[in-house]
Amino acid sequence: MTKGPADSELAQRTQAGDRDAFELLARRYLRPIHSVVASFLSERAEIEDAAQETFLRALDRIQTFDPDRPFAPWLYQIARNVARNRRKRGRREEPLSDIERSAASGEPAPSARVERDELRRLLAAAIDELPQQRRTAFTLTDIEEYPMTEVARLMGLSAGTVRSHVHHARRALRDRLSPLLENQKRDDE
Amino acid sequence: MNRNDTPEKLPRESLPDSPIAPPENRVYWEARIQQLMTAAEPALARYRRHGAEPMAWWHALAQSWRPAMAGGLALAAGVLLALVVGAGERTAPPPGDPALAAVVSDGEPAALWAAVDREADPVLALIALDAEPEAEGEIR
Repeated sequence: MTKGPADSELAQRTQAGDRDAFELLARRYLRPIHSVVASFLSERAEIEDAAQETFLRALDRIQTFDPDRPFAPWLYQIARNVARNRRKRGRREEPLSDIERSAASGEPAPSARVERDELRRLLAAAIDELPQQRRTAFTLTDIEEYPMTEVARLMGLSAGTVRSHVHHARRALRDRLSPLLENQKRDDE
Repeated sequence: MNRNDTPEKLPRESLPDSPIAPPENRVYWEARIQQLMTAAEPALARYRRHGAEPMAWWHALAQSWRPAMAGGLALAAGVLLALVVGAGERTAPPPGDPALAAVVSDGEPAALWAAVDREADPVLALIALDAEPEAEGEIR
């Protein structure tokens, strides 16, 4: 849990232009927000820009923030909108590779040994296609390794809902890429 | 594996790298914070000059619609309850009302006559009831 002044107090002080209060909020949430936008975007520079844009937008709208409501989900919603808009602008369709096609169909890969890098690339593509809430919950818990309770607090969801999102994400990824994961397991053994 | 079991984590080496810098990279995060604070300064200065800006009417409306709707619903529920209770009170018969007495008599013939202030012999009352036209078609 967070130490120091409560988010709502910091937000109220920011509404009055308190620089230190805003800086504390930024220190508290820059990394988690970075991770949230990273679940939408892939380019590092764009992730950094989106995280900064989230905070600047939040600052622009801070007068509309109701201190009786939790701050983290409010900020999360802004981050989600910023990242979603950037993702829409930058999205492009990539054709399936031979390996991806074979993984999707369950047939053996064209070559006996599937390179680890290729698996990572495919997994990244599969994560990218998960529904948004599921993708964000999965990225924050399994890639960024945040505790589920912290992810739930940030996303404004119950811990059970986050657990369910992660469960379905893992299952979807395993179902989709199981032939490749099995190959890799065999190679490792 | 049971479909309800939470699947194991995927192997870490298969997952994409975390796009954020490692937590120990303090210099990176410090630079990011300072960059953000520089960009935020004009807005913060504006808030300092004007204090907390008054809420726009549209935003006040947006923030208050939930409590307003809850109040409206509570009021509507109260009015509805008052109408139902009031209607019940208005239709309740006074003590000694013939209709109420007929209900209380529970079908006992003499008591039925008593409900309309007529004394009746129990046997004659029963005969009078049996002679009612509605009862003619019944199988005895």
